[in-house]
Formats: sequence, C-alpha cells, structure tokens
Amino acid sequence: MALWVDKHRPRELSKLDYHKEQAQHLINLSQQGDFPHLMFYGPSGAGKKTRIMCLLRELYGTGVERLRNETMTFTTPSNRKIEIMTVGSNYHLEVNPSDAGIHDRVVVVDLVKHVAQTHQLDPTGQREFKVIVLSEVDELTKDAQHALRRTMEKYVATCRIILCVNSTSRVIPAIRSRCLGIRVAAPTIDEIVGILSATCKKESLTLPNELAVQIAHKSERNLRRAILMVEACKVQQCPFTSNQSIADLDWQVFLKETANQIILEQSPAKLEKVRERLYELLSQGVPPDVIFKGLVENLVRNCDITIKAETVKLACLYEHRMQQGNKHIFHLEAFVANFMAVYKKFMNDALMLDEF
Amino acid sequence: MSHIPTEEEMFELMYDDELDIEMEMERENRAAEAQQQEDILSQVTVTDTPKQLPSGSSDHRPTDRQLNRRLFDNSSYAASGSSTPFVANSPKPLTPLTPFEPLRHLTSTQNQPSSQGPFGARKRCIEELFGDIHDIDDEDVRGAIKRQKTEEEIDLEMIERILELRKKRTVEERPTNCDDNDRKEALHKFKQHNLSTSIPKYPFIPVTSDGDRIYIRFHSEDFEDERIREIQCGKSVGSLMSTAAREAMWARANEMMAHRLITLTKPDVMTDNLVVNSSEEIPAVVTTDDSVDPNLWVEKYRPKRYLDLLSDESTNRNLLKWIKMWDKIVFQRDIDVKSLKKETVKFQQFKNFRRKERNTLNSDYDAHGRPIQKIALLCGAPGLGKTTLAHAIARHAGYNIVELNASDDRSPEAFKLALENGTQMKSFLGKDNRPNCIILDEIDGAPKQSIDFLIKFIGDNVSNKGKNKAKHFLRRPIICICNDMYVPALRQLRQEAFVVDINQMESGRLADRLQTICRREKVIADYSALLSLAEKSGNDIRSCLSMLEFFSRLGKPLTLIEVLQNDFGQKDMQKGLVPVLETVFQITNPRRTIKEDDKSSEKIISSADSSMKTRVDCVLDAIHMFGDYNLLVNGVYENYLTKKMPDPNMIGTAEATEWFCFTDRINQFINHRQNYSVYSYMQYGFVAWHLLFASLMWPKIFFPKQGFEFTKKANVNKAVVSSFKKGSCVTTRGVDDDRSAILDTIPLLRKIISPVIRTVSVELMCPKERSDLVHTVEVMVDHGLEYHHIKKQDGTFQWKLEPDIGTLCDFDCGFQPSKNYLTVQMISREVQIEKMRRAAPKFDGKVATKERRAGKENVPNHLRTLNLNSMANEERVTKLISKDIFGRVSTKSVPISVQDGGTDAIIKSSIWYKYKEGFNNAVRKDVTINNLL
Repeated sequence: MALWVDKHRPRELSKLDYHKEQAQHLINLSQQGDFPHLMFYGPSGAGKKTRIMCLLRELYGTGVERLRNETMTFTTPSNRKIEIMTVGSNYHLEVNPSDAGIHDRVVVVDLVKHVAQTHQLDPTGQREFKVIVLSEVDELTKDAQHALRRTMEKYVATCRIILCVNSTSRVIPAIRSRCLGIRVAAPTIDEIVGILSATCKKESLTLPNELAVQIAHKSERNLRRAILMVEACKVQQCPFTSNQSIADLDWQVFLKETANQIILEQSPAKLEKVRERLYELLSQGVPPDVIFKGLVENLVRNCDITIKAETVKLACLYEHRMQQGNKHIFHLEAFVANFMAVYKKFMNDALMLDEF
Repeated sequence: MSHIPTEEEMFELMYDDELDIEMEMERENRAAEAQQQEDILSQVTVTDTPKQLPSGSSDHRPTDRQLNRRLFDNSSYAASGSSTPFVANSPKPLTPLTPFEPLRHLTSTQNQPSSQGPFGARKRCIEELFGDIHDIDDEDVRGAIKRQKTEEEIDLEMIERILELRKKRTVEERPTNCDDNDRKEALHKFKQHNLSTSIPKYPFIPVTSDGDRIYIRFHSEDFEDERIREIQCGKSVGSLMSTAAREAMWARANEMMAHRLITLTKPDVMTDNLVVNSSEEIPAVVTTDDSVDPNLWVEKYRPKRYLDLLSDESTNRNLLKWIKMWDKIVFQRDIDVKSLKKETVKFQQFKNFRRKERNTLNSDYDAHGRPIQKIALLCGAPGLGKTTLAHAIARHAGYNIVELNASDDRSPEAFKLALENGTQMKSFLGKDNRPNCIILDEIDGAPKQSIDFLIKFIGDNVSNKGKNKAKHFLRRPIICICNDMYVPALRQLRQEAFVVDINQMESGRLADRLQTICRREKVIADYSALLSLAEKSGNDIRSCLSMLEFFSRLGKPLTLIEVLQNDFGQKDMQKGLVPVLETVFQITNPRRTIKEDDKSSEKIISSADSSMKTRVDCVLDAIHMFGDYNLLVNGVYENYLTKKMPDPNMIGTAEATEWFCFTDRINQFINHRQNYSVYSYMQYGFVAWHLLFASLMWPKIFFPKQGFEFTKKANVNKAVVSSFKKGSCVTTRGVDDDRSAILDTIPLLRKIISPVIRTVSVELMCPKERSDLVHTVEVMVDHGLEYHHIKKQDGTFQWKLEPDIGTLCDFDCGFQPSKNYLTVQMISREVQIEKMRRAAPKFDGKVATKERRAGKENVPNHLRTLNLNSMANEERVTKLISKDIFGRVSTKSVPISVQDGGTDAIIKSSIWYKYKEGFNNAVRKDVTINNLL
C-alpha cells in the first residue's frame, strides 16, 4: 500500500471527502440491512470503487478488507479455457468480466450462478446475501448483458449485484431499470485541491496551492490521476515549488503531437504517417474512444471557428460507426482523412478569398 | 574403358547434351527424307488391304495380323497378340509426331527401348564415342569454329540454334505430316466405314473369332476401286485434297460421330476407350469413335522429346543440367563442372531476373559424386506441362521412368517400398535395363510422413535394419512435381531441393502449337481465336487441347466468337494476394469480349473496351476468385495511400476511407449475427477503390503486414498488462481495470519508481534520496515489480524490469527513465531484501515468542535426530500457530524432539566443531535469514 492512491484511500463512508450527502444516503441504505442491485456510474477516477468498498465494509464489517486473489477458469462452448482473475473476501466477489473478451457471457452466467446458488448456511453472523461486484459492465457485449438481466432477478434472494460503470449509455435499459443508479460525479477542482493538500499533509509535505490547482486541472478532474501526479512530482522534485513542471502522460503528449501533424499538412503521405502513430497508440492499449476524444480536442483547439462544428460532427459520426465495427483503425483513419479534406477545402477557400 | 579421348571427343563430352539435341535434329532430318520411301512402302500395303478384306476367308486371323503389320510396320505390335487389333489399339502407330518409328529402330538411339544390349549402364558412353560416327565429319567442322568462341557465346548460339531448328522443324513437319496424316486418316475412315464391331446398318458379313465379332461391309467391286483411287489420289495431291468425295467422307464421319454421341449414354465417352455395351444381346466390345484416334489429343500431342517442349527454354535447360549432373554417379561419366557452373550463372541472368537464391542450381558435388541438391522440385499451375517436362527430360537423359502419383498408395510404408525399389533395383523384365529415375507426381497431396521419409531418404539417413549395416545411399535422381510449393508439408523439402518454377508460357507460343495441331487435325481455326483461347485458359495447354478437341468433334470451325461466347475453358485460377491487388490498382488491358447488339441481336467482338463496366467486371472477377475479402481489404488499406491520388484535396481519400468503414461494419454485422445476406455488399468497396485509385501504370504492391504486426504488438502489451495486474498485491487497488491502468497508473508509476538517486551507498544518501528509495522499493514490491539481470547481445549486462511496464506507454516523445546501472542495481537489491523482509516476520516474530513462552529450548540442528515415535514424545508435540501471508491463522503441529544431553556448554553454544572425514565444511554456524538482512 505504498502508492498514495491506496494508502490514503478512505475506508469508511463517513470519512469520504466529497459527496458527503450521498455518503449519508449510502449509510442509511446499508443500515436497513437490505438493498436492491446497485449501479455506480461516473467517470474514471471519481471514486466509484472506493464507495463500493466503503459500502461493503459498512455492511459486513472489516472482514471485507481481507482480500484474496483467485483465478477462476471457465470453459466456453467452443471448449476454450478462459482464466479470469477475481478479487474477493468471504462476503463478496469482484470480477471484471470484460477481461474475457467476446466470451464474457460465459463468465457472467457461470460465475454469477455459481455464487448465487450457494446459500448461506448460518446467516446469524452475516447477511443473507453475498455481493458480486462487476466492473466495466459497459464494456460487456450485448449477449452478456442480456444474460445478466435474468440472473439478476432470479437470484435476488441470495445475492446482490453491484455494477460499476463508466457510462450508462452502453448498458442496456433492461439492466438499468433493475438497478438503483448511484451517480458518482467527478470531484470539483476545489475538492481535488483540498484532497491533494490533505494527502501531502499526511505525508508531511507541503503542497503549494498553485501547484495543486495546476495538477487538478491537468488531471481532468480524475482524482486517481491527480494523486499519482502529485506523487510523481514529489519524486521529481521534493520540496514542492509552485511553478515546478508536472509530469505529463506520455500518450497525451503523443496524441497532441499527432493532432498537430494533421493540422500541419494534409496529404496522403501525411495520412500514412498519422496511421502509424494511431497504430502505435492502439497497440499500447489506449482505448480508441480516448484517442478520438483526444484528437478532437486538440484539433478543435487549433482550427478555425467555422470548421469546429464540422469536426465535432465528423468525430461523432465515425466514433459511432466505430462502435458498430471491429477495426478501430479504419474509423480513426476515416475521421482523420475527412478532417483533412474539410480542412484543406477551408484553407483553399481562404486562399481564394485572399486573392480576390 | 581404356580409351584416351581425342580432342574432339573431349569436346563432345563437354557439350554432349547440346550434341544430343543436334543429333536428334539431324536424325529427324534424315528421317524426313526417309519418310518419302516409307510413304511409298505403306502405299503398297494400303492398296492391298481392302482387296483382301472383303474376301472374308475363314482363316482371317493371320490375315488380320498381316494386315496389321503391313499397315503399321511395327513388329512389336504383332507380339501383343491381340486378335482384334481395332479394339485394343496400341497408341504407337498412330501418333503422328513419330511417324518414322521404324527408322528410329535402325538408328538405335539411346532413347529407343529396342536398343538393348549387354552394355548396360555404359551403353551411352559407347554410343557417344562410336555410335554416330558418320556425324563426326560434320561435327568436326562446327566444333573447330566453336572452340574459338567463349563459352557464353556458344551457349547463346546454341539456344538460338535450338530455337531456330525448332521453328524449322515445325515448318518442315507441317506439310509432310499433314500429308501423311491425311492419308492415314482417310484410310482409317475407310476402314471405319467398312469394319465394325457392332452390328452395322449396311450389308455385312460377320466374322467370328474367340467370341469377338467383326462385321465387314459389303461393297460393290466398283465402289472399292473408286475409294482406293480416291485415297491414293488424295495422297499424291497432298493437302489440296478437298474434292467432293472428301467432303462426303468428312460429313459421314461427323454424322457417325453424332450418332455415337447420341447412342452412348455415357458422357465421358471420349475419355474411355472401351465401353462395354451390355444392353445388346451379343456381348460385343464397342470401341468409342476411333475415326481419328483412340487417344485424347492431350495424350496424342504430348511432347515426346526435348525439342517438342513448349515450356521456357532456360527452365528446361536448368532441369536438364541438373539431371546431367547425376551422370557422374549413374553412368560413371564425368561432365565438366566448370562449364555447368558458368551456364547456370548465365541462365540465371538470362530472362528470369526474379529468380531467387534457392532456385539456382548448385553445381557442386558431394563426397559420393552426386549433386548437392539431390532432388528436383517442379512447381507451377496445372496444365503447364510439368509432368511432360519431367518425363521428356528423364527420357532424354537416358533414364527409365518410375512414376508415383496420387493414384498410388502413398502411405509411408508404400512410399518407402516404392522409393527403395526405384532407386536400388533394376528392372530385368522390361526390354531394357536403363537406370531408373523416380518421378513423384502431385507430391503436394502426399501425407506429411511420406514426405518426411523422402527427406530422410535423400539425406541418406535411412539405415537398413538387421545385419546389413551398410548404409544405403541414394544413387538415382528423383524429380518431384507439385502445384503448390507452399504446402506446409513441403517446407523442408523445399529447402533441400532444386526448385524449378514453371512459369506460364507466352500465349503466342502456345497458339502456334495449337495452330499446328489444328492444321494436322483439320480443324479450321484462325490464329486470333487460338490466341484468345490460350489467353482464356491462362495458357493451360491441357485445357486448350481439350477445348480444341471438343470443337473438332462438334465439327464447327473455331472462331473468335465461339471462343469468347462459350463458358467453358475458363480457368478458375486462384491468384495470389498481390496479383489480385494489382488488378484492383491497375487498369488492365481490356480483354476481348462479346457484345450483344440489342437491335439486330448480332454479336460484335469489341476488343478495345475499357469502359467502366468492363473494368468493374474485371475487378469483381479477380476478387471473387480470391475469396478472402478481409485479407484483401487489409491489402488495399495498406497500399492505397501510396497510389496516385485523384485530387489534391483529399476528397478521394476521404471517400475511400468511407468504404473501409462500410466494409468493416458489414463484416462485423456478419460475424455478429451470422447473417450472410449482406455478404455480397463487401465486394463493392473494391470497385470504388479501383475507380478511385487505379491507373495504367504497374502498381507497386506491398504485402500487408502492418495490421499483423500491430496485432502482435498489441497482444504482447496486453500480456504485460495482465501480468502486471496479476503480480500486484491485493491491497493495491490503485491499479484498477485495464483502462485506467493503461491511461493513468502505469505511465505515472514508471515515473514514480525511477527517482533520481546518486550512485552512492545508502548510508551516504541525503534524506530525500533515502525516502525516495524506500518509497520506490515499497511501490515496486507492492506491484510485484522487480529488476532482472540480463545479458545483452553485445555481452554487457542490463537490468530489466519484470513485468516490463517500461515498454508500455513508451512513446518516443515521452520521458526516459534513468537507467543508471548502479542505481538500478541498488534498487534491485533493496527490492529483494524488502521481499524477504515481508515474507519473514510472520514466522519470526510470533512463532519465536510462542516457542519461548512454551519454555522449549531451541535445539541446534546438529542435535536433532529422528527418534522413535514414542508415547513420551507425543506429549511434546506442540501446537504452533502461524499465519500465512494474508494474516489468516493456520495451525499445524510440529513434533519437536529434544535430546536430553543439552546441558553441555559446547553443545549449547552456537558454534561447534565436529570432525567428519571427507568434508571440509566442518565448522558450522546457525545463520538465520534475518541476520543477513
């Protein structure tokens, strides 16, 4: 527990730093002893997992913190063995079914049934139900989500399911309606600054307010990122100064450079270079929607006001199509090519106007 | 042979295969002259036959045989002893390419099966030296001129000469052979009309022998005479025989053929020679229409000699060289290696510039005097004449051919037997005892085990079992033939073998040959039609000949329209990925097509049609043949940007990318729903790309590998992430799911664990450095990271992070963690110590105190002995409570036996001495891991 992110993570609902009203609601919910399926949704780094763990602790006591890693093996209908890592205690099980890729349906069906069908023999010491935490449910295939919806109803007596989702838009409505949605919004800049200062204080360091604000902005209100950044800053330069450089994320720098190259030159040869960079990003595991977002942000920042709307429209179109397709690189390149065409046309028009 | 070769003979030895070819040609010239005489000879017999036949004597059998012998002048034929020669016809007498068979007997060439003698394997040498004495004068003059030139020039001249002679020969052959053929054909037809094995419609006399029945036609005396005169007359006039009588004959032949086709239900009648007609009462054997020849044209016109070969000259020569290299061991005859070497080098440069390294003939010998490449592998598309080439060349070099093809049993055992029989034995039953040459046809279909055996076999790794320990080794050439040399089973063979690629021949050359055949077979065909036929079939000689035969049976003249209109003959060729991509990116030369005029419904041949429609059709055809759209899409995707752009405004490119998205979505839809109804829309992307990017220039296509490399790299990175996640401790929840791990944790973690630390010992560090170090070590241990010491290729050592998150999120622009060797070494050491420290305390702290509390003395190791498990000891079993890594309590009972003699001071001390013979570690001390940390 050496990373500050883990070390200073709040463990009880009452000790949460922000969304305190919501925390109170959760306490009330857990005190009733029973609750429906929950769905925590919100952007990455907002504290969904933290809240889930706090809630579980509220329910079962400190026993949930005795975690262990387990590797479960599933067999697909096509006789392929899939290994899934799970983290669990005696009371709950946490799993990321989307690790199984297109075979996630098997994981959902087998795992949930396996856990849910075992009744608690002696319910005196604990609750009558176990909890399954499913993370990244929005990454699940439609098949898996459909498999989930019936199981959720069927085994409601013995298990509760807590879903952890980035965006509800990719969760099928059937599941959404079966869950109590809890939105965990990203912390505001002020909240982040407060948390960063408090963390540094615990580490007996002093963090200048300006630096904290800068980091908070740079982290895009992602608390995990912000804390990691502070830690990286500390490694770089220990007594903090207010104007010290903040560690950049490499992929962000790379994306920005890519966008600049697109603006610089619009030609097939350039497009090929851009493709290589996109391949590089994808192969490193950067999700394609993040690439889309990063590109659009940087492009829009640099281009003329008249084609900003057009750019965003194109990005929307191709991002949507990418979800329907399989080869992300095609759609990314299509977006870049179309932007190039739009940009080129705009530039040519501008030149024409100048000549007249 | 104690013969010291003269200079001329040396020369002959050096260039013997050229000489072979020349000799062959001269023989033919002489044969052509002699043919005149033969013609006259056979004329006499022809005039005799019809007169004898109608006499219908009861002792017909000798007559028949006599007739036969006179007709075909083939002594071997009589020996076959068939009572009905028209039924079981030997192909030999009717092959027009060798009309001077008898003469060749006399000249006793090496290729003739009849030229057997007691000389055995050395027969060739003798022939070479003495056989063609009368040629020497002629040869001598030429040789003298030649010797002054360089070898390369000689080679070139040789090739030219061969080609020239080949042309000359075809020219020569045409009139004579046609003439000869006409006559034979007419005669045959005459016979056909007069003799029949089934009950004919005309008046007849049945003749019976051995249950076979032949019906002989009744004709008036006048008619006979007239017909005979006709035939004779036809001969003398030559190919100008186009009288009314001939027309009538032609018509009758056609009529008969048509009749045959209707009556015989079996559709493949042309391929079968014998069809048993069981429906009739009399069990008669019916020959299929042998108005022309019982053989298919494909067989009939199969090149019999080296000179007849149609394939590329340099390819032929290369293979010939290879097989000649075997002469050293097979015929105990030296050939000049040097000249070979030069020629191979030259042939490499000659024409085939794309030839790769493995295709070159290695002209070195191994210890046994065999060529290094002990096996030749011919590969090429079907119908290019691989089998023919192999047979012709093996025969030319004087081998007896043992063929093993897909129709034979090719299980490893059978294969082994066949190979051993072929290479180690000699046939004594046959008429000659030439050495064998094994031809393994269609080897790409053979089972892997058999091919493995073959490789072992040629590598001489097959030792005979049993007493006979003498190692077998290969002494005979083996030629393998395959269509697809990239079959996985052939991979190893490909490396060992001398690979000969049979390329497509030029359409013109094939059309020339087809024209010759047409003329000989009296098929009216114009050259353009033949040319387009050749193009249509992808220069597949076999299919061209079959088509021609088909047309000839139809009796229609072959015109361009016929060729273009008919659907058959179109070869369904599987092209490689790159050629298909080339068709997508290139506006190909328009092929001749047929257009239907709507108004007059007339067919117009349009040759210069490069309209949109034809281009689209062409592209669609090509991609249909290939089939794998996904691979093609990848290919187009990785090539389209380098192609000529339609406009500088990127509009075309943008449109092309639209199509990529479209195909991708359709593909995903199909894969997801298993709904193939939209599959046909996949193809139109290629049309769009073709219209956008195709140009008349030859496109340079790169094989698509970017996507593949990307997937490989992505998989590696994925594996690193998952091992990182597995390695990290349960309590570190900062590593969340993959996404946030890649986006946030790992890039920043890389920075956190690489602090700037001076390379000084821990004691000399400033507080900041020390805290950084401690922090780094903690983080690394938490996440299961450690440095491994590895040796680089250049011999230096390096520390490598494991799992290597350094490669993850590694973009060029980003920061580079300090890789100071000494710093990393220090960190690594600290990490190892920290790991031990974390593992240790669970047993150190609590267990020790428990033990102390129990009042038991720590017994030194050397005092512990195994005791009997007595009752007294059972009481001493102490329950030890230990905790596992996660702090859970686990109890286990550890039996501790204590010896009573613990009072001794020496024994109590932690250092003791005990003499033990043969050991040098007599002084021992208890050291716990804690003391080392």
